[in-house]
Amino acid sequence: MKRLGEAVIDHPDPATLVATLRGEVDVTNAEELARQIAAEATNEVDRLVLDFSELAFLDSSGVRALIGLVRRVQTRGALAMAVVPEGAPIERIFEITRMEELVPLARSRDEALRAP
Amino acid sequence: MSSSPEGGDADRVGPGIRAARWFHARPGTTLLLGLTLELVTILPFRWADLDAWRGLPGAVGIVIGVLAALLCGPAVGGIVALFGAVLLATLGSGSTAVLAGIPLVVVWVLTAVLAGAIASRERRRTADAIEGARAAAKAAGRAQALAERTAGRMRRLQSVTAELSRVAAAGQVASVTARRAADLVGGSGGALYAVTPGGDELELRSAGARDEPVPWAPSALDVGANHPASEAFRRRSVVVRGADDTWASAAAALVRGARGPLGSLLVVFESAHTVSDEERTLLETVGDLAGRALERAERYEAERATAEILQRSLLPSGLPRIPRLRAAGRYEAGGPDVQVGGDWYDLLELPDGTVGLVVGDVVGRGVAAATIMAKLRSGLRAYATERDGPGEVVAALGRHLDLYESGGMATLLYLVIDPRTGLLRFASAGHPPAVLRMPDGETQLLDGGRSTPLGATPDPTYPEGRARLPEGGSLILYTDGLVERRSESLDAGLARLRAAVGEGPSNPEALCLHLLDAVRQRPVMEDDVALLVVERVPLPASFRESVPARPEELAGLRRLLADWLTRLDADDQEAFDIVLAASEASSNTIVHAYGATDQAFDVQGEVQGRDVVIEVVDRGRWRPARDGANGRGIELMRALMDDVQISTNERGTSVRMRRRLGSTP
Repeated sequence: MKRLGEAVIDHPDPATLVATLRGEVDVTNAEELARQIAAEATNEVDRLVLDFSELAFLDSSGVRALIGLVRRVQTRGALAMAVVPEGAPIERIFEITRMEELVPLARSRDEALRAP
Repeated sequence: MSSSPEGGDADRVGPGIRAARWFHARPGTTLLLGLTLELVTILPFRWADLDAWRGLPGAVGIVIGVLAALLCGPAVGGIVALFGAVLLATLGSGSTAVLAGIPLVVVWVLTAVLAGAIASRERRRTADAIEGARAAAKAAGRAQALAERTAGRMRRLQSVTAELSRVAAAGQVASVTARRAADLVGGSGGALYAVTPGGDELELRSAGARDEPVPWAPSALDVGANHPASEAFRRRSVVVRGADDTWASAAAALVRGARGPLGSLLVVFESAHTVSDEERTLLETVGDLAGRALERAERYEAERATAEILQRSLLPSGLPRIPRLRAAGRYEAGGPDVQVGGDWYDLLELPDGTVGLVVGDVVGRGVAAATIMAKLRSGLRAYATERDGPGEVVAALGRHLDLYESGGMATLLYLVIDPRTGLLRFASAGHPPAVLRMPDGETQLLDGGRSTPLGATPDPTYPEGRARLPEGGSLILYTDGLVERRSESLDAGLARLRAAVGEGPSNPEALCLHLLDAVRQRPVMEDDVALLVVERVPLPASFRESVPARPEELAGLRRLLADWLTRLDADDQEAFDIVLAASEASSNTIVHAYGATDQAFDVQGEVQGRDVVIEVVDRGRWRPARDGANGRGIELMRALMDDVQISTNERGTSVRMRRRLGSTP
């Protein structure tokens, strides 16, 4: 069966984790995806980039799960960033849920990797 | 006698003259006769020693020699005299030879000298005559060539004037001037420089026949540079230069406008050329002509830009999205040297749910036409909401034009469509008829409701035409630039338009492009075009799904809902927001209403005016918690939708959400 959503993990360098979210994230898969990413975000990782540019749908359960993930990473001093392209409909969710106050937004993956 | 050249006069002259002419015509006979006479006269003295008569032979010789000379010229006379002298010297005694021979020698010498003098005078006269004739011919030729060249140049100068008066854009003025100035004085290339606003540089505006860089005309020149174009500008006069790296000769003249110097004009020659006074005057004249033409072009371009900005600002920047209608509009300006006209189109949503469509064309061009268009546009917007029906609206607009813009004239088509029923009511003020396209591609012209143009008659009435636009059909409103060609009748243009509409795509944006493509294929775009296409799209049936209360059903529900919203013409953000809100409401239902039981809930969607209303209804009971697990979901729903109502009663819970389409910033 085709999976609704997935997280593609990439380590550009040992200290950086890029999780690219694809498809749809809702109540059925949000917790599971957050757990997968958290498992990759080991103590060596000091920068977590969540790339939303290929994500078609995210609901409030997805937001809740990802906020939990980001808080855990930030607690141990690592940096978390979100990639949301200019004009993507999904950006509304970041505004409404004030997730943009918790996670700095970048317009592209490169921008997120370059950010200080 | 008949052989005499003067035969006709022979009878009227005396015998002496006739004899003289006879001898004159026969120098050989005269010579022989003279010599014989001398022999006959002189020989007898050899034998009869007649000393007493010894002067006679000499005298006879002198007389015969002089006669011969008079009759047949000095050569014959000289020979006779010399013969006499030789005879006397050989035959006569010493005294006889002296007495008769010396005068004969004198006669011979005199006749010889006379002959030489006459001959040389003749030669001189002939040479002078030839020389004179030659000089006269040469002078005549020169005069004619000069006259022809001058006439040719005057003609060409006049054609430069005419050509410059025809071109409107500054760029064209520059290229015409550069090319024609070179033609006029036989140069191999011409260039036009314009001074920059700062006044310290000359900028190349045009050079050579094509717009390619040429070595002799740099793209910019310092005003102080040692270049003929700079010098002509500095000295305000014609400057002529000899050979340089890139030319054999060059001449430059000032380009002078009414307000002062504007630049300079350069002509180069491939081979050495002496610039005549006439050519200097020609270059000066062309410089003056170019200056006036450049000033005129600048004024023209400024006005054109103003008119275009004015007009563009009055055209809709985007058409509103209206349920059941899909609309697209285009305005296409005429060619580069055509002033913008007063063409416009507009689409208005009226309070009763109907939609007004208008296209109009103000007679005239430029700022004046655009200004009238602006007033008509706002006038129509005002009357459209307060008058009943297109006929009355157009009549009111006609009175408005008459009152505030007397002298102004415009054609206009105003059409009101009810998107729910497809009913059309329209009135045309002298405007070409709209084209109606049926779902099967058949076309017809909306010929009814016609009257005179606005401003043509003092108080006209406008009858109303009626028709119906079926679902899937389209309406095409346009200005005459789309159909009219100078070379053909309006009927032929309309037939061509109907054919193009019939074979075109049904999507309004695509149909606009299709129709304009056909116009653009013409060699010259003669007029502006305003075009408004409206399609009446079938309304998607309202949305109604019964969804099993399982989380894995959510994705399918979202897909169906997104598809329905797309057919309503919701944009990406609107579709995303509405789908997310519906998904949140459904999630709440699944998680809170039934628990683990396998019941179903209903999701309904419908269109109310421009609003989309979504309702999620279950048969369980749950309450929105302020801080609980469903708190964030409800927060999202309220933020995404314009209005969210949650009601619970004994039969279940309903979440009713409303969102207006077309209000995304």
